[in-house]
Amino acid sequence: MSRNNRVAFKRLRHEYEGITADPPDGIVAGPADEDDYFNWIALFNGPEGTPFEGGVFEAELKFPDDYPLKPPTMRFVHKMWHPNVYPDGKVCISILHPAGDDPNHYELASERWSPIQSVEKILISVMSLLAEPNDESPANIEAAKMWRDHRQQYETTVKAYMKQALGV
Amino acid sequence: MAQSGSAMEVPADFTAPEDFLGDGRTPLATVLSDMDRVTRCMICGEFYTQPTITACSHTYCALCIRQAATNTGVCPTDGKKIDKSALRKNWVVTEVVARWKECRPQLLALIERAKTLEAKLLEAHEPMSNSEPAAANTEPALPTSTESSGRKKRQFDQVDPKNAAQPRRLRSFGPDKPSIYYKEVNGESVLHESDDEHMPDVLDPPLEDKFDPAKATAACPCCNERMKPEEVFDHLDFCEANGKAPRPALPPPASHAQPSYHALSKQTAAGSSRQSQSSNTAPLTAPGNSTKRRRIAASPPRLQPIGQLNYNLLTLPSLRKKLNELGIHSNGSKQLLERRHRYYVDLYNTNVDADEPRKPKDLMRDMEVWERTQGGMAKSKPNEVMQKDFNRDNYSAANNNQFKDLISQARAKMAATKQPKAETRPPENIPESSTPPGTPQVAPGYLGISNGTGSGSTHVNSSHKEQQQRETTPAKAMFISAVETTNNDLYAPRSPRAQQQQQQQQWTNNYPPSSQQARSIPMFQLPGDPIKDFDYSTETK
Repeated sequence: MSRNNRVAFKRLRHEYEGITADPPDGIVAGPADEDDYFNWIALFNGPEGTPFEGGVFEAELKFPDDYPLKPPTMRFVHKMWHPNVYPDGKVCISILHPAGDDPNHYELASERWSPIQSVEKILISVMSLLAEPNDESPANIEAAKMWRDHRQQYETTVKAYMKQALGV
Repeated sequence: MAQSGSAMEVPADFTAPEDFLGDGRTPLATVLSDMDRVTRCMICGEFYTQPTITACSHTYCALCIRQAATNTGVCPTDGKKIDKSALRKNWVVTEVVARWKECRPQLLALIERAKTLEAKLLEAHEPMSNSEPAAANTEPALPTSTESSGRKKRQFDQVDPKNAAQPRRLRSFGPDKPSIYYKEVNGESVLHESDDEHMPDVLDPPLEDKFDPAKATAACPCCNERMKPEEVFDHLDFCEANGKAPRPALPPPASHAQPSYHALSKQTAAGSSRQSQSSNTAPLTAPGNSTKRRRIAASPPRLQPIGQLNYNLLTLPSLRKKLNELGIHSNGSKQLLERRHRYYVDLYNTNVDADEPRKPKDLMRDMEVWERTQGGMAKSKPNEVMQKDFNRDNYSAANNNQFKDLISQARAKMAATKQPKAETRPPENIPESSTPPGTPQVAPGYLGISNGTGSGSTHVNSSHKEQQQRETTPAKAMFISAVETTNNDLYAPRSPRAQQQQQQQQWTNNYPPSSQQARSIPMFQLPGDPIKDFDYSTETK
């Protein structure tokens, strides 16, 4: 059944080859099912020197049929306490926003999605987002306030969420 | 969105830059891998097809950049504005990609051979006791599938190990298509298959000098060299007065289709030199000249690109007309028509620039695929409710607020429309069941808007159908009348004029003026009376 867009499929296949041959540090990613290249699973190590250190985070990426013209969406499958992650796990990061519309008018065009971006770049951006939240456009306002005003409390909350996600 | 379970196998000709990386990451492998990467489009990840350079000097496939420009209007790399009319073919990249695609499988085979050779040498030296030192000179062992691991294995699974040792025959794996350039010259592809008994150097370019005489049928009248009949005239251009000018290594293949970059320059250079001497050799070059003229005349007329439309200035019917003129589907909402038109324009204009334009039939097939995947027939969103693991409780809990909002909105609207209660009496000649299948039925009682209005009597009895229809809510009546107007328009014989007017009035009374419907008033309505030849002025007054 060749319903899927062949261009998108081939492109995703290339990205998979690339990310397998040369994986970025602390990131593993690939299709959840080899039959369906449009749904990926990504695993992160928490970046060192942050409250996320020592954690392993799982996210799912969904690719549209007109990928790479349109960006994928990314969701953490477990709860995350982070200013730029919605309570349902959706990640709010400029690289995942389509280039055309910028509802908030604060992102540079170069930061947003373009067809030459890749899964690898998304994952690296998200990893650096874990280390350095962007409190200008918080997705989780409570977390953003806590991050700004009560950093100690933020870190303990992050750790608590992390432990819950890991089941320890 | 992704269709789970629709397995899509990797195409046989799938290649990736990582093919070169294999097991070890030697400097050479890295360079080759990078070389492979730069011959690929950054958007689709494949080798460039019709490489096209933008005004900001970035190269992409023609279709990729057109679609990206349609989508965002800027260059994917640096975000500069893209003017589609400023896109130009990148000849050099065309050539590079063609050559690279040609030598790539041979390179891979060479690497593999070197690896096996190395392995064998190591094996021979390690015992250090009885191995004959001549091992280095012997023919390298055939690569066995056990020692090629991982990615390499995929490549070599597809090839007979016997052929892998003979790089000339490597066309059986890798991109099977010969490059555009060579596809046109049929003699070349013959060459590839005919001369593998004397195994030449692997990287030897396929020169025309090795042309197999057995396959040639015509001889040059000057130098008696044999070649394909259609090449004789081209050959004559260069073979003047028994080969004063040396024959170029790669004569331009069928110059009307795609003069390659270098061949073109050679041709023009040779052509000018020929013209300077043409007085001496007039009788010989005359046939060449005449064929050239004939060929130019016979070349297909250049297709004209389709211009962009300003969709905001077009009404739905005129947009529909434009699409009909192009021969593509014209059904659907205006938004869909716009998207379809954009896609088709990109596809068509890419084809206009192509060296070998595809047939309109192929374009239409692409349009159909688009229609199925992204167009009108695609599911706009994966329906969560339809999925196997749908959790009803979670869903209702998550959307509880929205449900409540909808209900309260509907109640408010109902209360507002109760007072001016328009007589929404739909004509009863069409039963309720005539709604087309797939139309969302307004279920009575859903959202609490159907019951409890009017006199409150909601008999479902068929004998009271008329009464029931009259007393249903405005929303439902509106829906029914909408369906009926359409149905009447489509199927029913012309009803009397009075009834039609009544219907139309109903429609305009009931329907919100800012409706999103594609067609709020039937597009074509014939009057019930026989049409008379009126002057417009008298009719309107």
